[in-house]
Amino acid sequence: MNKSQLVKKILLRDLSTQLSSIVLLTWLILSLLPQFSDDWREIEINLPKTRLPPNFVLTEPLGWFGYDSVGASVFLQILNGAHTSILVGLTTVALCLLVGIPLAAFAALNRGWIDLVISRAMDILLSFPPLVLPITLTFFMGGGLFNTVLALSLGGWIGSAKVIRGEFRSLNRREFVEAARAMGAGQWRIIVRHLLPHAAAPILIQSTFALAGVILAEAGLSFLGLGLGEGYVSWGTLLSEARSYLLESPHLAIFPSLALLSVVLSLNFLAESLRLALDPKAKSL
Amino acid sequence: MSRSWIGFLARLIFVTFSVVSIVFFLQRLLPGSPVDAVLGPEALHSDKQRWLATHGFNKSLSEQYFAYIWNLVRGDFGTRWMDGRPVWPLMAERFLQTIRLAGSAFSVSLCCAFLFGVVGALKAGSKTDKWLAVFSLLFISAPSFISGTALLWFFSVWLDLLPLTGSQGWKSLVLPSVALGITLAAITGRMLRASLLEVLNEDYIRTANSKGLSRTRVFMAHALKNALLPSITVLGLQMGSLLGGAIITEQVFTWPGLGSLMMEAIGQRDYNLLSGCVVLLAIVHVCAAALVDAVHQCVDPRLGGS
Repeated sequence: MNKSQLVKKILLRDLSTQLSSIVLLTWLILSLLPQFSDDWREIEINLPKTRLPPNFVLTEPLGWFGYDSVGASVFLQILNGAHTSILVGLTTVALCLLVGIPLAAFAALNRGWIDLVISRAMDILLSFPPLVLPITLTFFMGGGLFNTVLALSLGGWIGSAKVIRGEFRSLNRREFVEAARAMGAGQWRIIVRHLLPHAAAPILIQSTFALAGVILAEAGLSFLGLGLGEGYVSWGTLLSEARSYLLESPHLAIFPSLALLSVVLSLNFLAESLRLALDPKAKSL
Repeated sequence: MSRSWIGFLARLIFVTFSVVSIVFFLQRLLPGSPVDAVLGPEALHSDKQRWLATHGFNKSLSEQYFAYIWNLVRGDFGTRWMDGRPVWPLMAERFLQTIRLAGSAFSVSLCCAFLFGVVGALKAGSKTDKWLAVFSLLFISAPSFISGTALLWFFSVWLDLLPLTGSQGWKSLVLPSVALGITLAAITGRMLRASLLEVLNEDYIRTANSKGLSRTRVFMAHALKNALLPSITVLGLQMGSLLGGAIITEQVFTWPGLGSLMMEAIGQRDYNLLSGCVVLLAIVHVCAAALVDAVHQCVDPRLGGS
């Protein structure tokens, strides 16, 4: 099966996968809008419009989702929030892979003290309950894009490293790796040319699940008032602000929730069908 | 058995020591002095010096570190900077509330997971099963600040049935338990369904059926018993994350648990309180994971021995 057939097989599996791909593609395009035009980036405070309800007039997209407690357009904030979410999500997952792949490869190929040190480091990081480590780190290091990505990655690389280590260990015993080693291939060559291509599918599946997790974690941090802070709009912040007006203006909570849910749900659906399409032994969960 | 206990203790001590060290050096090495946060940046220099001296910040870093470790070994987590009260009783009180919430969320999760799993497996492929799958994925994807807010809006604001916040009586326990439990139930339910389906195809189930046992008996005594193992692992790990990771849910429902205390410590920039909470949460988390291993070995003797 060639590559385009494979992509077709994955993305056109069933209705939920098709819908998820469309939703994700739409968010990706929407999240780029603030990059291209200042009209989509600058969020104006407009007190007369304070907490106006949603108004679906086709020519005025700014009013579609209503206005918040300072009269800023909820639609614009959600667009900018999408930009933040996707930016943090993709950078964090990329950083996790960048750290996780070499460490896991070394742990898998060199049993002994390197493996021991890496396993113990994983043990220590895993002993923190979920979110406790990012919360503590962003508190001590302060917010901002760089620190948030760093805080989320420090706990996040373990997930990818575990998958990669397991995969590499079983591949390492296969004949083609033995053959390559017998022909004198170095460790890096074996990792890059022989192990990585064969482990691509599980890494892709794990990264898709991880992306959903990171987007949720970033929103959670912002919800708690930590994380990115000034200069960034986050769906988590929008939701925590909306909680004061649940009774009078539920639209402030509904639209950011729907945005976050649609992204995370689509990513989970996509990861699930990637798993079913790429792993012949996978069972439907 | 005794050897595995020694291994567990060694692991616990190693992990606790590392967590304590990480937390300690994070506070001391990163920029920003705590005195500015507590007394305000405009405080007099002499006041700042006196505050730093009373809290032991004027000693060298290694001295501070060993004093901190020694105090922890004696069970002394230090005092809260704001009012000088010892941190340990504060944490114990909040931890009881966290246990209360975790226990009731766990029962919600157990009941729903059982229902989802059994119905899903018995009606596999039907419309009910498909809807269950969609809802499970929805519950798994929805973070507690969305599901919790939705529950609050529906039951407390709209219907006015249950209290909005607080921890008085069983009524205030309902919403946070459901918000926490339903996510976990969806995960366990899907696992139970998958392993049930696998077990139901085994030869011994066919044998039991052809012996003429009733459908219920085959299902309860033969299928369910063997399908429970993977779910038990997941349930145990969830107990750990319930005890250690309900920070956002506690914030949403203003539940006075350990997670809320941690966020209060962050609000007051209180290093003693914060590191106490983090250390306690980590210890609980590690112990829960070890407990799961132990239970797992009891249930499946194949895993023991080594």
